[in-house]
Amino acid sequence: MSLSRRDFINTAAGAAIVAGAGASAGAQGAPVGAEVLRPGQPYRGTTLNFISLNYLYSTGLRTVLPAFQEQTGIRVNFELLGTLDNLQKQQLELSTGSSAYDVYQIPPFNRPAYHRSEWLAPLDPFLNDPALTPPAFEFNDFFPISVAQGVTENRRYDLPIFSATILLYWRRDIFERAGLTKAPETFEEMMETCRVLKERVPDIAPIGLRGAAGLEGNLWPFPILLYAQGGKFFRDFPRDMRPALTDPNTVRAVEMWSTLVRQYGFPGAVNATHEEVIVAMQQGRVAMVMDGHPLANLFLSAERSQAHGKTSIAPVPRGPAGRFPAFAEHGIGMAKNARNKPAAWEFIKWATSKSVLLDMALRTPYVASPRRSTVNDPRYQQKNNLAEGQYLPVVRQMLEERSPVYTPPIPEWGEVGDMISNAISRSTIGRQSAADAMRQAEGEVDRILRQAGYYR
Amino acid sequence: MGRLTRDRLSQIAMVAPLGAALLLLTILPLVFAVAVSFTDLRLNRLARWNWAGFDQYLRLASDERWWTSVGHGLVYIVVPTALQMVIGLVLALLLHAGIRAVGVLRPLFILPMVLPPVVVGVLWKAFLLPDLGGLDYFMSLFGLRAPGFLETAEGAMGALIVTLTWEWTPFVMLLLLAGLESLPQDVFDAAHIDGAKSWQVLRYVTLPMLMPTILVVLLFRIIESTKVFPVIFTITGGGPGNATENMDFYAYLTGFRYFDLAYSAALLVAILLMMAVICAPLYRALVRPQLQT
Repeated sequence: MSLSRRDFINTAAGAAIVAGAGASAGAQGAPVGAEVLRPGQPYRGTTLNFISLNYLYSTGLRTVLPAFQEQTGIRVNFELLGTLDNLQKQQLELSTGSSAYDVYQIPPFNRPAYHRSEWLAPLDPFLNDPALTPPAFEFNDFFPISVAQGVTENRRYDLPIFSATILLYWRRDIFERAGLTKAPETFEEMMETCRVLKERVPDIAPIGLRGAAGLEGNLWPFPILLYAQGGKFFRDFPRDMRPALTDPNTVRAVEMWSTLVRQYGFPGAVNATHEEVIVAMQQGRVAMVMDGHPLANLFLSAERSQAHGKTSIAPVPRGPAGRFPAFAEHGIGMAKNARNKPAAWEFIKWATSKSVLLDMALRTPYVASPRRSTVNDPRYQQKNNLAEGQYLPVVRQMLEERSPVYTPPIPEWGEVGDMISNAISRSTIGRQSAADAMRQAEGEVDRILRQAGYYR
Repeated sequence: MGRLTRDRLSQIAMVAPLGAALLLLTILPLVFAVAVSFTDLRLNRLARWNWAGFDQYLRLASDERWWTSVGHGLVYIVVPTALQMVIGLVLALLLHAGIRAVGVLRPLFILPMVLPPVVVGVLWKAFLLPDLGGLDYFMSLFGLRAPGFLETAEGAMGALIVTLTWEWTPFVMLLLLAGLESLPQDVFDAAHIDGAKSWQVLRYVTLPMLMPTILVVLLFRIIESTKVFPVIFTITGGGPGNATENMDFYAYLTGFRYFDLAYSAALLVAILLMMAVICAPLYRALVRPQLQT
């Protein structure tokens, strides 16, 4: 049924695209992205294959793609997949040296593995060649934190496309029914708010969280709670890489997370990905959601969401150790064995250009642009003037306060994170106590890190 | 002698393509998997690997998640197989007895078996989804709320058992029905003339005569019960947590999500040995004597 949910979400996205249609050309009236493309269609007749997560960047890009195909004569096939399918297919293709796909959307939490395994072609030779990349590309327009993610050992393997953090969306009308007037500022307050909401508004779930195991499931929002409680994944990253999963603060964070999802979540929350959270918010089945800022246009869609006009936005809660907002940067890169790298660069350059990202942000629900020029554009600011103007200032605050290391940039994070997210999930469904689940995960993570040579 | 040699050569020539196919498609991959299980090969560093002796098997022996998946795998073998055998037998007996209502539904019974397993999984997931699923809708018509099958470990396991039973009962029914229809009628006539009641005919005539077929079907179902990957993948993804992972699902995750090909190969070898241990005695003790008679 996840397929039909995705369809549902995409329909909502599609409605928003139609609503925002009209800006088909760049700011100067030229075809969008024309300023960065090589003249004379040198790659005409080439076909590229692009594999990506099916999300707001890729669906937005597909909307503006005809402009690229017309200007370059390059045909681009999009293969858009769900989170796990995308990850598994990408890893299988890249690890076997396949050239089936030329261009890859780089999932943020798997980036270190892609870089260290040298599965991607370095982009520096293309980026630094003025014949291939004109000044109009304006590399310095990217936010420094966003472009920093794409570099490993002084080589750039990808460019940023999607800078994400997490916000707290809360329904004023439902809070009022429960006699509440403000969003929780700490996780202790969040627990109490949930208790009150459940007691006084029993027909609506107090909170919507991604309960499903996975790097882009529960492990995307969970570190906000973990760090706030003083918990950690490693004893002292990166100096002492031994796992700290049985640390009392870590266990306490897992207990709180489990209570939030199981006791106060919507039906099915233990298996929920972002898709289920979006649907729950749109259908008015939750009073609060702590999830990605790029999803705001779906959560608050005027056409589709019951939350539209009734929702306020607040920073994510803090805990005894402080506030630790999330940060993730998706990238775009080309396979080491891509068959036509210059044409692939032409597409990557276009797909990350100022005018294309702005055009997507104005015409589609895509909002998470990594470029200053997009977020400073008055039209962008007007379009995203959500929740009575609270949205953009809170996003800016969260990105500025982001955790220095939200998820550790190690190549083993895919496996390590999966073990931890599974343990959290086991605790969430009550299969194991938080302490037992994290003890088991600690053993598994210790083996992985020891085997990888972090310590003996 | 010359003719013997010619006969022998022509026999070899005729069997050779099959032997080559077997060698290429079954034996070589198996030998390769066994060899890989004695290395530290990883999918993300294929070029750099070392022999690792029995390390992967020692790791397997102390891997809590592996033994949990073995437990789940045994549940998938025992419970759905038992349900399929009982329900399939009852349906076959009803059809054989010519119960009209059951006969009319015969094509419907076969439908689940001919659907691809992924379609079966998607159908059941759509049916069981909390709040949005078909079951929830039907129960809401009576003012009830469907239990959250996919929200708890037990519920998710139950959902898989129901799905597997629904999917494979028609297979059991069809084979047992074929077995029933091949039984000699005169034995039943003799039993009725001797005054045997229906349940006595079933207990003392039908079931003993059907036993070879039942045992063969049982063997098929036990072997096939380990191949439930598509249904797990589509309905629960092994979750919640890893509450519904079985052995081959865990081996798949190890190899293709965690890149640990060597350990994945060791898990596959263990699965193979486990199935041999379960099925070989069953085959020897139950099926072969029956086939010989």
